[in-house]
Amino acid sequence: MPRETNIVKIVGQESYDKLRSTKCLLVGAGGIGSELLKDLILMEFGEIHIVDLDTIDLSNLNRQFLFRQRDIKQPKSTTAVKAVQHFSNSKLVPYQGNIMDTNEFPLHWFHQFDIIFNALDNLSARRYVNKMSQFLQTPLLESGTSGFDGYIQPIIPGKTECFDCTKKETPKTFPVCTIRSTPSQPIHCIVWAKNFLFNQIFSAESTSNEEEEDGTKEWGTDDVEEIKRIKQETNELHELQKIITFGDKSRIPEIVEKLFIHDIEKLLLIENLWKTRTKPTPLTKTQLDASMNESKKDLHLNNNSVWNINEQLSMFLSITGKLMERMKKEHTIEFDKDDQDTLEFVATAANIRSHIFDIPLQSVFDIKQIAGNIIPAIATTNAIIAGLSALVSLRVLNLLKYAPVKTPLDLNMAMTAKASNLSQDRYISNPTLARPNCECAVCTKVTRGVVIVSDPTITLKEFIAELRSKYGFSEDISLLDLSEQRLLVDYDFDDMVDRSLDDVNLKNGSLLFFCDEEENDAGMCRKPLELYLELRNEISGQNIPKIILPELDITWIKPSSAEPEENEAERETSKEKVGGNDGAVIILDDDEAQPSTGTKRSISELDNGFESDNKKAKVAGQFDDNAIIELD
Amino acid sequence: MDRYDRQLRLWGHGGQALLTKSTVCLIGPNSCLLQEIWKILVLAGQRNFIWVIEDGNEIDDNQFFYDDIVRDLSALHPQGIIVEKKESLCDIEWVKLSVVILANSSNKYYLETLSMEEVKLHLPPVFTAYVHGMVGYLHLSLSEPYFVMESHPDNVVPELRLDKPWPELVKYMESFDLKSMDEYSLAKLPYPVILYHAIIYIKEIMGINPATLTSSQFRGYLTHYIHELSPGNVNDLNFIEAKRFSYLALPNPTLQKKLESVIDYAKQSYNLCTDEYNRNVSILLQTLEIYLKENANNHYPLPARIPDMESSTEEFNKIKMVYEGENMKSLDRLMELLQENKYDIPKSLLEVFCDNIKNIQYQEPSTYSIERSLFNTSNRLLRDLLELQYGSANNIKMDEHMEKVLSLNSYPTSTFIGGVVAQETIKLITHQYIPINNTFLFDASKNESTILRL
Repeated sequence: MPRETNIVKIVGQESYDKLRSTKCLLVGAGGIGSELLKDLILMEFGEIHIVDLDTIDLSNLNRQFLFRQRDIKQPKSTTAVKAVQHFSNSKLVPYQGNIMDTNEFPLHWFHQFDIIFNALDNLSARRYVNKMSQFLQTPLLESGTSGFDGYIQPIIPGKTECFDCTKKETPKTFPVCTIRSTPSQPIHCIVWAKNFLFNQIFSAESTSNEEEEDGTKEWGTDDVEEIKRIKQETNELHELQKIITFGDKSRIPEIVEKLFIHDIEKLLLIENLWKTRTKPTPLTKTQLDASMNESKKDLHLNNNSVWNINEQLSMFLSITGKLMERMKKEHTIEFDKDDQDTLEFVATAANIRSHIFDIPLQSVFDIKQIAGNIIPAIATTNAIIAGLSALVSLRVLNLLKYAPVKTPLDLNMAMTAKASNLSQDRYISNPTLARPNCECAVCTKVTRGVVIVSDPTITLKEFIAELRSKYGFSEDISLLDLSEQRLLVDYDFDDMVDRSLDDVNLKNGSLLFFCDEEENDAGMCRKPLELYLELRNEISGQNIPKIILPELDITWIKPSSAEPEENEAERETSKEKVGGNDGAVIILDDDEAQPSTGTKRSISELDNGFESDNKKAKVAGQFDDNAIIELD
Repeated sequence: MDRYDRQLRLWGHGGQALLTKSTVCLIGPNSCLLQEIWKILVLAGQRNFIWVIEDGNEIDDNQFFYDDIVRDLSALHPQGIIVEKKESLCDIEWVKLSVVILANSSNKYYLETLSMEEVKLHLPPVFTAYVHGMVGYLHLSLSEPYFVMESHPDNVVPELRLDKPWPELVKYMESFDLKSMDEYSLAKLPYPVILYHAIIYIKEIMGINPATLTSSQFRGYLTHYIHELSPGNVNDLNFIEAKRFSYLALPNPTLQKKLESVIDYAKQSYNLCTDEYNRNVSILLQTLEIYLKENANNHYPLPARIPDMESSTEEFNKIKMVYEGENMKSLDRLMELLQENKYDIPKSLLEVFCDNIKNIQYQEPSTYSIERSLFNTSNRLLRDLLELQYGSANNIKMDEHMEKVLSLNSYPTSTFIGGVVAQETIKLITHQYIPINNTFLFDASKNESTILRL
C-alpha cells in the first residue's frame, strides 16, 4: 500500500520494521489524544493501546474531531477507535478505565509498551504515569495544552528531567472561615455554594462531622464562637437535606430563609468578625416573597449577563424545585459543570451570597469557568502539540537514521505561548532537555524496585526484617504506604508490626516507601526505596520464597532540607505554567484527616516522606492527594 | 451546554460571531495539509468556504485521513458546511472573503494572479503554506493595515493615573486622612489610596517631584512613608501590594508615545483600509486624537475595570465606582465625537476600544507582492522549498540530509503546519491575539523553527 512505502522512505526498512513492532500506550483520548491517535496510525506504529476514563460531552466537539453529536455519553476510548478503525494499519486496543487503577493496569501491564504518550488533563494521572515510566525505564512523551499555550516534554528515565523534577503550579487554597463566614471575593461564594452547600444537600455522601467534632480540623481561625457557629450550621444543613429528600416544594422558601436570612443574622451576632470587615446584609422577607411570585413565571435569562438579585432569587427558587424533583428519581446528584441545573443552582446561590456580602455578582458563564475549573481549549493547539509529540517520538525511539540522537540530552522539549506572541522572533521555543533535577523526590531521591510477594500473610515485622537485611538499613526505619497516604511503621509507631500485609490492606500495586532515618558520621543517609508490591497469589509451593526482593544499588545521599525547593519554585514559575495545572481548588481543612485504617497520624507530603520530622504538612495542599481537592 | 464553550473563553462571543459569518477561500489540491487546516476551521465553527481545486500532486501519495473531504467535514459542523468549488480564480469576489489560504498549491499561475496589483488591492490576508516531507513554511501577506484591539497581553498592567488625577479621583483620595486613621482602618484601604498619599507626602513634605524618581527610588520613599505612617501596618496585604505596584504611581511616558504613534499610523493609513473592522479601529483612533486635544491633560480613556485588590469590599466598590465613572465619561464623549462626525460605530466596539487602548497593535501591509516577497528571500531552506513547490527540484543543490528530509513524507508535519495555519487564520478573523509577522519555517527532523520577515 502506498502509505507503507512512504514510511519506509522516511525511516528506512530497518527502522520501519522496528516501527511496526513498536507498542505504544496512549493515555487519554481527548483533545491531544484524538490528534495523536490519528498521527500515530498514519505513522504506522504497530500497536496502539488507548486508555481513557471519560465519556464524550458536547463541549468536546469543538476539537475532539473523532466524535460526533450522536456519540455523546459514549466512552471516548472505544468511540475513538471505532472512528479510525477503517483506515488503521495498526492494531488498536481501547480501554475505558482509570490509568491509576492498579487492578486493571498493574505495573507489569505497563511493561509491554515501548513508549508512552501522555495526553492527559490532570496532574495526578500525569504524576502517576510519570512514576510508572520511572519504574520501568520506559520513555514517556508528556504533553499538555491550555488555550493557545501548549508544551511537549520527552522524558527518558534516568537520563533527562522527569515530570516531577520541576514544580507544578498548585491549586488555590482557602481557609474554612473565609468560605463559611467571611467571604470577600466571588470565588469564596462559589466554593461555598458548590463544595459546601450543594454537596451537603444533594450529595448522598455528605462529609462526616467527625473531624469537626474531635477538634483536629484546621479552621483558619481561633475564634471559638466562630468555630461553634460553623459546626452548628453544618448540623442545620442536614435539616435542609431532609426538606430536599422529602420533596415538598412548598418548603423551598424555608431553605432561602435559613441560608440567606437566619444564617447571616447569626453570623452578625459574632461581633469579632465584623470589627475590621464590612457587615453582610441579610435578605429581607419582602425580597423573598416578591421573588416567589416571579419564580412561578417562565424565566428567560441569558447565561452571559449578570442577573439582578431578584432574578437570582427567582432562579434559585425554581432551580431548587427542579433539583428536588430530580432527587426523587436520582436520589443523589453530583455537581457537574455541564449539568445546567446543578450549575444554575451553584451560580445563583453563590451570587445571592455575594450580594449579601457586597461582592460583585457574576454571570453563569463566568461562574461555570471557576466552578468547573474550565481550561480553554481549541483544536489548533491540540493539532500543533500532537504533531510535535508524534514527530519527536521518532527521535526518542531513534528511528531517524539521518538525524541520529547521540544522547537524550540532544532531544528537545517544545513550548508555544499564544503561538506567535511567544516572542518577536519565535513561534515555538524548543530548549534541549535538562538532566534529572538532583532534588527531585520522584526520579532522583529514591531507588526503585518491584517486590514480589507470594504469601501476603507475612507480618510487617517479617517484611521489614527482610528488607533491612537485604539492603542493610538500620533499625531506625519507617515504612509508608504511598498509595493510601499512610504511615505503616516507624520509630515511635509500631502498633501494626504484628499484622500481616493482608491485614493492613496492602495489595497488588501498592506503592511502599522504605526509608532509613539514621545518618552516618558524614551526615549522609541511605537513599530511600520506593517499592512496587506485586502479589502473586497463584504461585504456591514449598520452595518459593515468600518474598522476592529486587537487586538494588543502595547509595548514600544528603538528607534533604526544604530550602532548595523554594529556589526551584522561583526558577520554574515562568517555565512550566501550562498543562500541569488543573486549576483545582483546595480547602485547607483536611491536613489532619484520619486515614480510614486508623493509624495514629496521617502523613502529608508523602513524596518528601524521608524528611522524618516532616510528616505533617508544612505546606499543606502542596500535594494534591493530601488535602481535599474541592473543585475538579 | 454550548459546543463552543471552551473556545469562547479565548475569544468571546464577538470573536465567535466573526468566525461564523466569515468566508475562507482555500486554494490547492486535496492534500494532508489542506485537510488538516480545513478540519480545524470547521471544528472552530466556520462553515462558508470556497475551494479552488488544483490537480493533485504526487507528494502526498493518497495518505488522506478523509476520503471525501467535503462530506466528512460537514459532519463536524452542527449545520454542515457550504462549499463552493471552483476551477479557477476568475469570478471570485475577493472583497467578500475573510482570508485566502494557498495550501500546498504548486500552480504558479495562482500565485501570480494574487500578486497582480489590481487583484492585490482587494485581497483579504493571504496565507501561503507548503509542507514537503518533514519541512514546511507559512507566509502571511497583508494588502492593508491590520489592527488588533484585543491583543490579550500576558501581563495586564493596571492603569491608575495617580500622577494625573481627575477631580473625582482627587475628591475620593482626599476623603481619607491617613494620619488620623487607626491600624484597622488602614488595613482596609485599597493600595492606590496609599500610593496617592505617598505621592503627596513625597511632594509636599519631602519637597521632591515624584516624576523625577526612578521606580526603585520611589519604592524607597514609599517604604519610608509607610513606616512613618504606621509601623504596625507594614506587613498588611494592602501595604505589601502598594509596594509591589509602586511603579504605577509614576508617569509612563512610553505608553503615551506608543499611543501617539498608533494614532499617527491610523491617520496616514486610513485610505488603505477596506475591511470594516480595520476602518472602524482607524476611525476610533482618529476620534481619540480629537478627544485628547480637547482635554488639557492629554488623558486617554481608562479601562472600565480595575483589578482585584486587597481592601475591604466596601472600599473596593467605592474606588471601582470612581474609575468606572471616569470610563463612562470618556465613552460618552467619544460617542458624541463619533456622532458629530457621522461615524456609525457600535457602542460595544467603542467599549472594547476603551478597555484596550494600551493593547492596540497594528501590522503594516506587505511591501511587495506575495510572489516577490517569497522569491526574494535569501533563506536557503525557503528557497529550496519554493523550488520544490513551483519549479523543478533539479535546481536544488542539496546535501544528503536535506535530500532525505525533503524526499520523505510525514503526516505529523502536516498536522503541525496545519494547526499553525488554522491558528493564525482564527487570529486574523477574530481580530484577537497578535498574528504572525510574517513567515514561519519548520524543520521537523531537527525540531527547528525560524521566523523571517519578508
